[in-house]
Amino acid sequence: MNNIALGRYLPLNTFTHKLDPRYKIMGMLFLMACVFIPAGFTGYGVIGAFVLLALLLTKISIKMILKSMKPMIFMLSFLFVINALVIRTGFVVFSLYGFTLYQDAVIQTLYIMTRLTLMIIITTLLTVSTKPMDLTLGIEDLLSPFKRIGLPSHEIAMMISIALRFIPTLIDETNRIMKAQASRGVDLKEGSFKEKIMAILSLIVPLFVSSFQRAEELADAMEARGYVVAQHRTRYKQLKPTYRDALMMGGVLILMGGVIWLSM
Amino acid sequence: MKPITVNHLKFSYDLLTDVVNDVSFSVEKGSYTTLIGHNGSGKSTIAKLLIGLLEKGSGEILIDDMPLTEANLESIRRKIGIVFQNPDNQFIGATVRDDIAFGLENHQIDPKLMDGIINDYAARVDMTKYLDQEPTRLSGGQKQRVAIAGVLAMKPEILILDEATSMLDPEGKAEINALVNALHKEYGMTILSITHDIEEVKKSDHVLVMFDGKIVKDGLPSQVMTNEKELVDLKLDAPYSVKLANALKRKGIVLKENLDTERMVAELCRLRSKK
Amino acid sequence: MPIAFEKVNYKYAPNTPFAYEALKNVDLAFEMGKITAIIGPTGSGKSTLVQHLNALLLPTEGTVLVLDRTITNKQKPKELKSLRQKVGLVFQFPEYQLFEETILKDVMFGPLNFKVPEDQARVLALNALKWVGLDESYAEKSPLDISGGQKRRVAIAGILAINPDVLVLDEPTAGLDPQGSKAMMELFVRLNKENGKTILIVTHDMEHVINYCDNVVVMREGEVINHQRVIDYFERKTQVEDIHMNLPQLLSFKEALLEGGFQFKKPIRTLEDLANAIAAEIKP
Repeated sequence: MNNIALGRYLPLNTFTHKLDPRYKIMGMLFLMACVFIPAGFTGYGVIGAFVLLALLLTKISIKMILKSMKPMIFMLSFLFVINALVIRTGFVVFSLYGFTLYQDAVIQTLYIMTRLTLMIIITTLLTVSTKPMDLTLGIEDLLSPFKRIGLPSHEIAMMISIALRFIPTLIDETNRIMKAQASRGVDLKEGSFKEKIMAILSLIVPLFVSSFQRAEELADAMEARGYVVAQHRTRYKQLKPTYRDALMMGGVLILMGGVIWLSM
Repeated sequence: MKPITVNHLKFSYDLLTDVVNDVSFSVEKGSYTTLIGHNGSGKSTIAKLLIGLLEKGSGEILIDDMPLTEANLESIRRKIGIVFQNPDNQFIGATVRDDIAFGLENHQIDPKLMDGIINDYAARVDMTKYLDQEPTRLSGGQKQRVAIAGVLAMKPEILILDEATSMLDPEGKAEINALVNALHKEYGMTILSITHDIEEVKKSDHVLVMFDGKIVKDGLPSQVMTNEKELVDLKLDAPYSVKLANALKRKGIVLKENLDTERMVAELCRLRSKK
Repeated sequence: MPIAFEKVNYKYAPNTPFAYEALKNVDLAFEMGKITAIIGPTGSGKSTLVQHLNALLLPTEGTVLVLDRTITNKQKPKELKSLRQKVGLVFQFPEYQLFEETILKDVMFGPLNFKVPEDQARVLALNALKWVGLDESYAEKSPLDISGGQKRRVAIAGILAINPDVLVLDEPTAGLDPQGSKAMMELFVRLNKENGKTILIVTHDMEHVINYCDNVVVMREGEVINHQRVIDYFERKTQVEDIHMNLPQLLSFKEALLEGGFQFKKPIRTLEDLANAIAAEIKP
C-alpha cells in the first residue's frame, strides 16, 4: 500500500529537490498550461521529452509512474467507450457487426490519456521533491501579493502548516479511539445498520470533541507566545532561489514558447 | 517591585459560580512559588487570568506592578512565559526548530538572528540532537523541554508552569523538574508552578493552597504542608515525611524536623545513637 | 483458567524498514484473583503486552492463553467479541472515549454491544455508576458537562458495566489529583476483594504498587525481567534501580535509616510498620 502513495515526499537530494518551491510551483503551473495548448501529438511529444528529462533528474522511475496509472485504466476504458460511441468524424478505423470506430474517437481518447498522464507526472514531480512545509511556504509567498485585495495569505499558510503538523497526531488518536471502542465491543464489520452508525459515531464524536479541545489549547498557547492574528510576523524559513531555478524557469519558458509556436 | 500581585480577583465562567473567588496573593522576585489545590479549585484558571487568556470578572492583576489591561497585554505577555499541561497541544511547529522559531516570529525577530537563538536555547534544554525532529517522534518530556526552550527564547522574567508535568511519566517529570530548578538558579527567574507534585512543593520557597476558588493557605512549605489533617480536609495529600512524623508522634517520638526527608532521617539516627 | 503468555513475540510493522520488536520471548502467567501491577520504563512493552489480552493485537509468534481461549497469529474474529466481554481493557485517559448524549447511555453502550437486552443494560449501567461513586443524578447529564476526573470515572463505569472477569487498566490514575488517585485504587481493591475480579494495572506509581497490589510484573525493553509478589520484590533495593524507577517512599526512608545505623529485623510493609520499627529502636 505504501508504494501507491505516489506523490509522497521522498527525502532525496536531486536537482528538483534543490529548487525553490515558489519557482517549482510556478514552473508546474506553466507546464500544466502547456499541456492544454492544442499543439497536437508533436506538442505532446516535446512536452513529454521535457518531462522525461525532469523525471530522470528527480530519480523517479517510470515503473512508479506506470503503477500509479493503474487505477485509471478502468476510467480510461470507460472514456474510450463513450468517445467511440459519440465521436463520428475522421476516417474509419474498422467496422464490426454494425459498430464503426472512427479515427477521431481514438485520437481524442489518446489526447485525454496523454494530458492526464502528463498532469499526473508534473504534479508528482512537485510533491515528490518538495516537503509539505516548503510547499506551504511557497504557496504563502505566491499568494502574498493578493494580501492587498484582502486575501489572508499568511493565515492560510499558518492553517495549512498546523493541519500538516497534526495529521500524524490525529491518525494516532483515531487508532487509539478505535481500540478503546473495540474494547467496548464495537465491531465495524458486523451488526445492524443502526449498530454500525453507533459504531461510527463512537469514533467520530470523540475525535471531534478532542479536536475542539485541542484547537482551544493550541490557540491559548499561540496567544500566550505572542501570536496576534493579522499582525506582521517575520519568518524563520527564508526561501532563496539559485541558478537552478533560473535554469528550470528558462527551460519551461522556452518549452512553452515552442509549444505555442507548434500550435500555430 | 513584585513580579505578580493579585488583589481580590474574581472570575466566573457561567456567571453562577465563581471559579476564582476573591483571591489575593503576591509572588516575590526570584522566588519559586508552588500553587496547589484539588482538581477544580481554580488553579489553572488563575494561570490563564495572569496572562490575559481569560478576562477577569473583578479585582486587580499586577505584573511588575503594572495593571494588566487589554492595551498592555502584548507587553505583559513578553514578560511571562507559560508552559501548559498537554505537550502536544502547545507544539505548533513541524519540527523542534520550527516550534522554537514560532515565538521569535511572533515578536518580529530578524530572521538572520533566529538560528543563533534557536541553537542557543535548544542547547540549554538539551535538545540540540533533536532540532530537526518531528513532535510525533518525541517523548512527552522532550516536548515539554521544547516548550520551555520556546518560551525562554523570549527571555521572560516570569515562568508559569500550568501542571507542566502532570501528563509525563516519572522520567519526564524528573527531567522537567531538574531543568526548571536549573533555570531558576541560573537566571533567577520567578517561577510560579501549578502542580500536584508534593516533592516539588516541599522544595519550593512559597506555597499557595487553593480550595473551591479561594486561597486558604499562603506561606512557607514548613508552615503549610505539615498539618496532615488540614491537608486531607483540603482534599490534598500530606507529604510522606509528615505522615511518618505524625505516626511517630503517636508513639511518643516528637521530631523537630517533619518535612525534609534528609534532616528527618539524620535526626532519627541521632536519636537512636543517643539511646 | 489462566492468563498466560507462551514464548510470545510481537513485532510492529514487520517486513518494513520500521519493524520494531516490542515483545521478546515473553513467558508469563498471571495469578488469577489477584491485583497485579505491570511496571517498567516507557517503551518497555507494557501497553503492547496488555493489548494482547483482549486480542487487539495478535502475537507475531507464540501463544496467549486467556481464560478458555487460545490466541495465536491466526485467531478467528468471531470469538474475539466474547473475549472482549470477559477481559475489559481501559486505556490511558479513557475520558476521551465518551460520546453518547447522556452518561447513562454511554455506560450502557458496552453492554448493548454485547447483546445485553436494554432494560438489563440500564440496570448494569446504573450499578456500574454507583461503583465509581456517581449516583443517579448523573445519569441524564451530558458526559461533556462534568469534570475530567468524573469523566474518567464514567469511562471506567462503561467497562465495569460489561462485567468482565478480568479488568486491565493502563495507567488509570494518570493526571488525577492525589485524592482522586487514591479513590480510584481503592475502587480496584474493592472490585478485587468483593467481586473476585482479576485486576492488572499498568502503572508508574510505585506507591500504588506497594500499597494496593499483590504481585508485580517488571518489564524492560520488551522482556519480562521479573514477576514476584510485591512484598518479595521490594526486598532488594537494586531491583528497582535496575529499571530506573523510584523506590516507594516507605522504602527510601527505610533504606536511608538502614544506612544511618538502624537495623530493622522484622519485615516492613506499611507506614505503621515503619513507625513501630523506628520507635522500637529509639525508645528503650
